[in-house]
Amino acid sequence: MESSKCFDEERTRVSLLAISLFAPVSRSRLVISCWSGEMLQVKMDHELLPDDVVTDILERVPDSISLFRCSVVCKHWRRLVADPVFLRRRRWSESFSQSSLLGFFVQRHRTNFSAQRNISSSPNLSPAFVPASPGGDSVLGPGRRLLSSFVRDDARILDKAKPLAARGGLVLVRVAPRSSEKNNILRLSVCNLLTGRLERLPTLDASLLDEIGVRGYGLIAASDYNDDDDAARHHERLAHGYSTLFQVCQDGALAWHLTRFIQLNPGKWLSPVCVAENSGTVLALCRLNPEYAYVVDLQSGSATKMQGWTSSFNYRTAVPFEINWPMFFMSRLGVHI
Amino acid sequence: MAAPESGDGNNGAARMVTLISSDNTRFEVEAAAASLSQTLQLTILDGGGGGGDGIPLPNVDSATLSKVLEYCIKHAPAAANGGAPNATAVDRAELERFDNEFVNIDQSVLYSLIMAAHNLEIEGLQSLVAKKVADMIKGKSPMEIRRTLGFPDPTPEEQAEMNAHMLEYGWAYE
Repeated sequence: MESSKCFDEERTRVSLLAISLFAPVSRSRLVISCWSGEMLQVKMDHELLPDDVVTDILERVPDSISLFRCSVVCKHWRRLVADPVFLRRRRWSESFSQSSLLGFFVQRHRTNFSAQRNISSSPNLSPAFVPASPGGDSVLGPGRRLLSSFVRDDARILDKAKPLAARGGLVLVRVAPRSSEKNNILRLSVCNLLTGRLERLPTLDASLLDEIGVRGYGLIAASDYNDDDDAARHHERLAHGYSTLFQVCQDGALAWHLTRFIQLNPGKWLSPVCVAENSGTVLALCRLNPEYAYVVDLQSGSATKMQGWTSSFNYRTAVPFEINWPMFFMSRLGVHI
Repeated sequence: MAAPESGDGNNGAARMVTLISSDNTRFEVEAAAASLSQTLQLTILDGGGGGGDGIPLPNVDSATLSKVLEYCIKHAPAAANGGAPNATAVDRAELERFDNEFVNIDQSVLYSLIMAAHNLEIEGLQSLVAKKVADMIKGKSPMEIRRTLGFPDPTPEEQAEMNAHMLEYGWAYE
């Protein structure tokens, strides 16, 4: 059984490889828990602003990054920003939903990724991040950049890596096999874009997976646990490394339940490539000219041309990178639901 | 409505009330304008503020109060129309222009306005000034925000926290 099979997108037989991730407790979270409850006097021109006035202001801070900076202005503001009720109520200007699509990670290959030799013939580049919106709305910067520019990668293991999944600021990649290595070694790494850390996962024997092929990859983070105790328990056990790997096999087809049809602009000859489900958008490629890629908003049906997309990208490797802002703030500011 | 007055008010806007600022200046305004304040509305409905009585506002000085009333008088006709569903685009654009100009003011005035809008519970004004401050915050570093809003100098602990944040989340400061 050749290991290339695990990259094939087999539609008939479905299996899901899920990687469970328990990100280490961030430093900032520890700091917060040490804070005492005393309230900082917020002085604004010698007047004490009541909480609901500050909340009124914070609610209207237009972008998420500015709000994130507000959370360190003082302890009092931090507590107001970190309030889950506040975070849920706030209108997140980036999109209609609480999640916003920042962009896509994609590898640069002309040919498809299904065979091993194509990996080695590709340029020595890490996957690229292509922002979804032109004009610098993305918090990860206005322009195209390499995944390796987000994390510290001295060993250059991201060269030729293939993006597999992204969630909550984490990007899961498959590290390109070394030429000396057997084909059936599956090496995965996780890039934490928000903290700039790159973590290697334990090596897997891919021959175990060949039988059924891998249909998809997913990330489950510690913040997925709503229950404090539950998260803490897993934390203790898994603090050092990402040690849980499990495989779920499922027979049958994955079905999308369409509530309505979206008419992609027929003049542009668009083919959907991948779905960013949380923000309700689709990456679509122009069939006539692969230089052109569009982000289609499923709510409105509007298509925005992506800047920085080139025909050298292997669209099959495209992975949407979305951020759920309330979740992001809650996990970064040490809030538990 | 039998409104003999000329102008936009169609709500019997003849009735006047008197408001007294903290420094004892008396302001006579239409009840409809003063009623934009949730705090004053009940008093006015009860018949207060008329005649020689006046409603004392010990938290608002005369400079701030005249500014607040300027807002209320401008917005009262639209508010009387129930959020002005039938207002023309021109009317709305005019109000927007007025609002933009209205908050284009010195910071110390802005802060007094925030407090007055809060105490008097004038919803539109509250969100207008909050939006103004929020826009001032946009794109600034935590330290710049503190300076802009006149916070005292940070404690060493606060300074360390800000530095650590910038270090850990460099992407948010690019």
